[in-house]
Amino acid sequence: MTTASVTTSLLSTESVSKHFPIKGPFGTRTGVLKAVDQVSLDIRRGETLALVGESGSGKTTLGRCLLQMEQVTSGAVRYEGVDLTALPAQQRRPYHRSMQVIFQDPFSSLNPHRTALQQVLEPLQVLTDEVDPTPRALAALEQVGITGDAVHKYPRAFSGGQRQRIGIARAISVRPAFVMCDEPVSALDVSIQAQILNLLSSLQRELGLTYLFISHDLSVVRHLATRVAVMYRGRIVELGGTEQLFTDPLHPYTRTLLSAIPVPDPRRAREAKLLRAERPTEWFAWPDDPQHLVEAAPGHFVAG
Amino acid sequence: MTDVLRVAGLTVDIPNRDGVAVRVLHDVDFTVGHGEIVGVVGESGSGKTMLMRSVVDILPETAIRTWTACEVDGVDRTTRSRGDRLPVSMIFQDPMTSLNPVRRIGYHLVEVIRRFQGVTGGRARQLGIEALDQVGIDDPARRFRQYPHELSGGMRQRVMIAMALLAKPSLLIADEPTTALDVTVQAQILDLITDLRREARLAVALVTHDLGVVAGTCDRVAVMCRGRVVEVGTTDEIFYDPQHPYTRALLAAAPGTEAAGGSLTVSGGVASEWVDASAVRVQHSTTHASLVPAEVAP
Amino acid sequence: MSTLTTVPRERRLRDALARAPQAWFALIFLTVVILLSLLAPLLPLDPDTTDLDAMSAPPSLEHWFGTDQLGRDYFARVVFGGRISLLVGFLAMIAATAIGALVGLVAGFAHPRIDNLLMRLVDFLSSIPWMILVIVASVFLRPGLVTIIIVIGGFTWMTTARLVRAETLSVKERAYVGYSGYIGERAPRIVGRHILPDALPTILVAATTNISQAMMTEASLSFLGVGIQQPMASWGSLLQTAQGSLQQLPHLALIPGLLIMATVFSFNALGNTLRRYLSRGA
Repeated sequence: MTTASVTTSLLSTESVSKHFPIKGPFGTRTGVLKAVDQVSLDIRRGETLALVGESGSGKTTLGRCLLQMEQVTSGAVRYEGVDLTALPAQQRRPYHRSMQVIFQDPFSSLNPHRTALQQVLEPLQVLTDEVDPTPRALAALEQVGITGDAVHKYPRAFSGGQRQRIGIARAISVRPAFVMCDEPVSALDVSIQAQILNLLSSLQRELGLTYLFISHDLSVVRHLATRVAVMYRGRIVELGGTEQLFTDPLHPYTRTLLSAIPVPDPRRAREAKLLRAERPTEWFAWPDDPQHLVEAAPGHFVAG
Repeated sequence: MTDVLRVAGLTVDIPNRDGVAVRVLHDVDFTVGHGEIVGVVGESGSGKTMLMRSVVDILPETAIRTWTACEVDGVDRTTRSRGDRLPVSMIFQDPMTSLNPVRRIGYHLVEVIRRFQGVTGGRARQLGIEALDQVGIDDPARRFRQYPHELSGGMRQRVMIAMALLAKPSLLIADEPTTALDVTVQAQILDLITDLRREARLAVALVTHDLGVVAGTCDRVAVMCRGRVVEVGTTDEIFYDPQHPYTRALLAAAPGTEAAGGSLTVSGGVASEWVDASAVRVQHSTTHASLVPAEVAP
Repeated sequence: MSTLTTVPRERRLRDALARAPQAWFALIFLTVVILLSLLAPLLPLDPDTTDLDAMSAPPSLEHWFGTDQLGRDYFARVVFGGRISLLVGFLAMIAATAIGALVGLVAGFAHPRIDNLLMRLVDFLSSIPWMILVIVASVFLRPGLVTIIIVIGGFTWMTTARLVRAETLSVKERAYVGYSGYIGERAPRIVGRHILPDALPTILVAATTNISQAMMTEASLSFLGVGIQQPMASWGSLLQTAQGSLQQLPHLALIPGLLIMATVFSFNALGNTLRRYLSRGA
């Protein structure tokens, strides 16, 4: 079980599960899909925690549960100690200002019929009581590099990278403490990814943000994350400091994942291929009940 | 030993909406030798997919194609008619939409077997199940009877490879076969292709935008930019001794390469922006059509 | 990886119109018809005066469309009839489109239970033959202009509702809609600001279908005698009175009949063009 003092933990989950019913013919319930299976995670103030996994791992669902965009099936989500799952919708609203989100797809994350400025204004208008939030919205847009007349343009006038910037401006305009980044660079060209990641990094320093960075791409995560949690089939299988995890992966799935990353270096690629040949996937045991994370090294936990 | 595929002087023009011909391929030479995996790498718009489509004749109807040579297995195919079968199979990017959802996997396999091997009935079924086994699908007899939606993306792509191989091709063209797949599944599929190359003496042309895929799978690489092949060489040559400025820029933009110094560099834009359209092409001197890759001992 | 090329708006409109020359015909025809209908009271046309000297006369210079059995100038009757037909079509279309859009948006956006309820209502109403509905309605409401608008508007909104609901369901899944819900925007605001703009093209195209359907329905009902009643006339009711002298005076039926056809066709053609123009957008 991860230990953290209350003062450093900003957002945490306690044994959170999210189950989806599997419907058979005639709407009968034939089974349950455990998208998230009793996950306990702790996000510390000021850090960037990367949540890594492949499709079906449950990482996006876990992120949505954290933000209360999905209702958890069981477990608690605490923000600064307060259990959000126990609050009625009305009382949860102020927390939505502290917890913001950046989405993956630059095309569906913005309303094509509203200008950049209007979209950045939206959370300010709904979540704050400011009489004229326009200066704040403009300041946020400026921070991400969108200035002047551009703020009055519609999303179709912008490139994918620029749209992501608008999405980022929208998230930071209300001065949140926590931002969930749901695969923010996955849909962008490689050359643009670096720009956006650098922007996120500098914004974190300037505004004192805490990030949950969801990604399927370990190489992207390496440069931004302080800690990494690896998810597989709804459970966290390994959790540790970034370099710790990359240089000394403990769980077989983590090792498989690392060796599978295509490395643009033929020598290393050949080595990785040998590693893969030695170790077929799925040979690690998958118990019915998720196991506790055991601390194998200081700060480095493995499903044990 | 003749090359499996030899294309020379390939130029393709496609008229756009205004009727102006856009040159999508410009004097392209491309060869694949026996047992080779040749990677074709480039950014979107480089023409790599168009090159493959030219070989198997699935260009848009309005496209105009000219070439000085196109030989498959040493046979001239420049004036091929629709009826002449080309011993080339092709698999595509999206495994989700390449199979008919209302037909079982077995149906797809038997269709290919019947067409290309002239076998039907129980024997065809047997061959189909064997093919599934060859591509690493577990419990092939059960999978044979399943529908596409019951299989994962990786498995569907394996089925596509099985179907491609059942046509007994000399050349397999794979157009971004793993882009839509998870990274661990991608590794498995690429390992499968490499293994099949060895077992079936298959030649492969692998189209991708991912340099990591190229580094791990290919023997030789052709780098394309804006409809031209700008550099060709062995994988080691391309990665460790890139000659053309575009190749260098491409490597520099990819995180984790030696050229990038292992860190994320901000390239500030698409690498092909600044490349002169009339750039000189570079061919590494050691490139040889019948080069057999040095095998790493398992 | 794929580059989304967006063709400029003007180009798309030009292309859409170029590919469909019938759209030009539709545009011109409808403009003429609508203008005539609007200006009818100001023109020197008299649909009611009977000219006993020229009863059942064929088309001539004096009476462009000839006269009917009672000697009334047929051109005038057709123009004024068109006025009524278009009026009914237009108002019924507004009603049907508004109800359909509202139901569709609510069903698509609200809780699945409400969606189910509304869709079962739609199914129920769709399954009743509208002829029966109309006749029953006519029993309770006096046949006439208002009744027919209510009847058509009230029973043809279901298709629009289904279309709008489908559009709403798909737009609802987009990240920006989810975001609005997350920050706490109220449902009507979300629907109006984020869903409606994308549903608008569907609604517009449905409107063109609705108006042509409404006009056809009105013509049928009036032809059967349960629609527009004398002394008012619509193209449908003109068809009805023309029945009696079909052999001798075919023009009495042909003219309103052709006009109904041409108008319905034109609205449909415009709808198709509109749909093509809108669907190519980014």
